Amino acid sequence: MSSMSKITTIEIDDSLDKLGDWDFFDEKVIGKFSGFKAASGNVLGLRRRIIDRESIYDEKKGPYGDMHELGPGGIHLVNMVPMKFHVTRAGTSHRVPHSFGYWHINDLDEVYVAIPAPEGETRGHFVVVMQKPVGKEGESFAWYCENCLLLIDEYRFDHGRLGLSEFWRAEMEAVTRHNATDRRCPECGHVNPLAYPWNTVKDTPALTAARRHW
Amino acid sequence: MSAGLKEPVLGYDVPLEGPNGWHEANRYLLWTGHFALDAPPVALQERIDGRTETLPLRKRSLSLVPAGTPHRLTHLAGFWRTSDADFLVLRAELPEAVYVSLYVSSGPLHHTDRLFWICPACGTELAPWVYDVGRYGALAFWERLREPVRAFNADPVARTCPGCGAVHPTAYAWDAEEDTPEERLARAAW
Repeated sequence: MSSMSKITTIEIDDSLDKLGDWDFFDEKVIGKFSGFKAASGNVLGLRRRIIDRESIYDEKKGPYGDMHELGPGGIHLVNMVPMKFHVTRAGTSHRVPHSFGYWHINDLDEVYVAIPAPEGETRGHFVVVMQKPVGKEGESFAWYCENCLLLIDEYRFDHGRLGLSEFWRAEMEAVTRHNATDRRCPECGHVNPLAYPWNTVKDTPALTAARRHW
Repeated sequence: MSAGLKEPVLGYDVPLEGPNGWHEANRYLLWTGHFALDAPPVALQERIDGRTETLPLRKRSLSLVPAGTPHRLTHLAGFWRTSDADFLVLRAELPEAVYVSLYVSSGPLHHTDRLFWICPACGTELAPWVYDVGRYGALAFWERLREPVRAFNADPVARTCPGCGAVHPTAYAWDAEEDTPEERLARAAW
């Protein structure tokens, strides 16, 4: 294979380890990153979404509204609009309502950007980049009481040790285990809604209802 | 910034349509820039197997330069760089401008950036400048690189290839606003 063909002609079944230089937006490639995939020292998530200059729309989940980040002042709403990088800082509890039904706490930064659709098209590019966890770095799935924000449940995923391939299994396990617990807040008594995973494929009617709720 | 009082507690927002420039965002260093549609194209070049390869310009592209791969951007970086951190290039052509966004994936494993030139005749590396990112930070590399660029331009010996004797063309730094007339011509040329 010539040097030029390493760049311009990518066999999508090649090991990702061999591919550092491809165009990740290539239609033959982007689908491989619809979840998350590691590429060198980073993890990429690439989604085609309906994006114009002002809004982002997920065809499976509806409008991509404000991201919620939890800080000392309570829930901070992040206006997720196209043409803007947003960096969720490492350690910040965050969630996207109706997209994933838990608070995500990552040991590493997450960088988001949405690029409007090219002229004549409706679907733009939504890009998530984060560094690949190593060693003891990882992330948590957490739940705070929706009434008083008390931390009521948390599952840790040792991403650096277990690797990205285990992430979705861990996410589903955390959601399932959390939903089997008593979700009543020990502080204020509020009964909190069911959790749900990022991917809608495994939604039951109960999970669909939870996704609509929060 | 005084005593970190303006440091965001949570996240960072960086509009792509703002002035061209670097933005520190915890472990990531982001550069946002936009150019006129008819401006000289900012294309990613890499050295692969001893050859310079230019990635094709597309209306949309996201490219990742793995740590350790020599790279530069035409008309934006008048030098070559290697780093032990990944580098990502996002290019989006929209009706009003071409947007180029860069990610330097920094952090505790990012120790060194190197700047150098490559003899256009024979590929010999010229005048390497090693920067201690661990000590001075990732942003400072981009702020200080004008110094070795100007030193290279001022030193005929450094610009002359010891292997074949070819003289390297004038180099230029990152921020075009501070270019000398000679550097401005060089930026337009390569």
